[in-house]
Amino acid sequence: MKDMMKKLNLIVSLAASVLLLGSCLRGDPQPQLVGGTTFVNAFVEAQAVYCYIDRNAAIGPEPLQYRSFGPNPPVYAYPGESRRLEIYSTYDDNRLVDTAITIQDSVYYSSIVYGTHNDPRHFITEDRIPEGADDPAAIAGVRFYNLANTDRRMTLHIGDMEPIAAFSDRPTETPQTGKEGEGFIPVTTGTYTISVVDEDGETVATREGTLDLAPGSYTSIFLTGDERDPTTFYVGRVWHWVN
Amino acid sequence: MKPDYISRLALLVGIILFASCIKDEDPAPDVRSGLVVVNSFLEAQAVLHRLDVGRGLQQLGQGQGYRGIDYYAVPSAENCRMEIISSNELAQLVDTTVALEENKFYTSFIFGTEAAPRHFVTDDRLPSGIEDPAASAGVRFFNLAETPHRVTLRIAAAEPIAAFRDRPTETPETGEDGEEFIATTATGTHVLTVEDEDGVQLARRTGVALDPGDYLTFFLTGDGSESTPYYIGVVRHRGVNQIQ
Repeated sequence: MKDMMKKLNLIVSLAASVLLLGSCLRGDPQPQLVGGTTFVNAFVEAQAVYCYIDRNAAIGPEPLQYRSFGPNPPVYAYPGESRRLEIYSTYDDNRLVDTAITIQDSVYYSSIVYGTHNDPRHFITEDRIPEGADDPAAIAGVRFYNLANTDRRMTLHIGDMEPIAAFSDRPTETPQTGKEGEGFIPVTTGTYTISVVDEDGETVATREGTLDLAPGSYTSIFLTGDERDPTTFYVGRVWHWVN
Repeated sequence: MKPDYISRLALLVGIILFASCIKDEDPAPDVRSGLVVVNSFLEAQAVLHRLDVGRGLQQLGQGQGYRGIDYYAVPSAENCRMEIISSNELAQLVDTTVALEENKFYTSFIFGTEAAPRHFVTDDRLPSGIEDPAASAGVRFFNLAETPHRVTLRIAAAEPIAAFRDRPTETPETGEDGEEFIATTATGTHVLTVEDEDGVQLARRTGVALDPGDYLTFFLTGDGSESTPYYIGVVRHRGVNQIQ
């Protein structure tokens, strides 16, 4: 009788483990909800901005300071059409942006606000791995924007590298040129000093320290500031999530 | 003997517990009114609003700086005494009585000078005939500036609304006469400008959001000096009174 019980126990436990472990083998992997939006504040005329998607604070209760970006990881907004994106300046609650956007699943976006209260500008980029990249983790992707309030044309210098055509002689972006320049351009990986030079060869701003363009990094480099006070010129960089 | 003891105890506990259910009538909720206070009094650093809703004078907040706009929910009172004192030697600027009806919204404007302070309270009401206040937008405009000019408010590039044209500095009467919001369909993000009678721009404000369901009061304040330039204030009303 005792032996019988022992055997029965064994059989039951075997059956149980087969049933339990069986669930591990089953099913296709679920799609991952990857994607999201990074907000970049290059709006020089206010301390900070508030960002809302469908009237919900997109970054949290604190406003996004000038020269900063967030959140990290990017905020995942539910995909859909006609989502309302609003950005308000902390100065007198000026509404800088009020636009309807379409959010797709599995896409990373960047919302970039700049300009002045008189002429606020804004565009949204889709942050994608460059087409034809064999190993996205082996290259360093870079893009450059001139978001400063200036009439000068700006060129990005990455170390001693020959300036890349797309990063040369850029006037202040319009929403169209910004959107067109959303592609990342692979550059030789390495650690560089970064500076922005105008069409006369005068250095407008140099980024303090060095910038590490590591393999697998996707970086926006932008000039911000205002001609009315040249000390405000600043080279910003944003690390992007890409897909 | 023992079971009897337990049932008596149970009865006692039951009585005590149920007793709480039969206590007097429901407590009456404290009904309130919405009160926005706007400080356009440029001769003092700050003002302090004090209200007596039947409990003695109580102050609203800790003093309100020039150009300040604050919202309060205050107990409703038919005979509410309102006093406004200035931070300059606590001079009394206003001592008046207002009626605050239940669940209605009011706005108090203080402006003028120490010598002649001016004050009015508006009943923030919609024009009659608006079916759905959330689908419509409304605006009104007051000239609270210390200025000899008659001023005109322009919303974007549109022709100015008749009531916003050539307004001299308000008196309490003209202010109360202009309390009704003017319905507008021109929603969006606007640039506001205020001009004098010669078309000279006195003040400008960018990025003013006017969406359906927004009810805004625009006011001009300041005196054009270096320290208190002309400025367009915007009161974003949290509620408006609908005429049934």
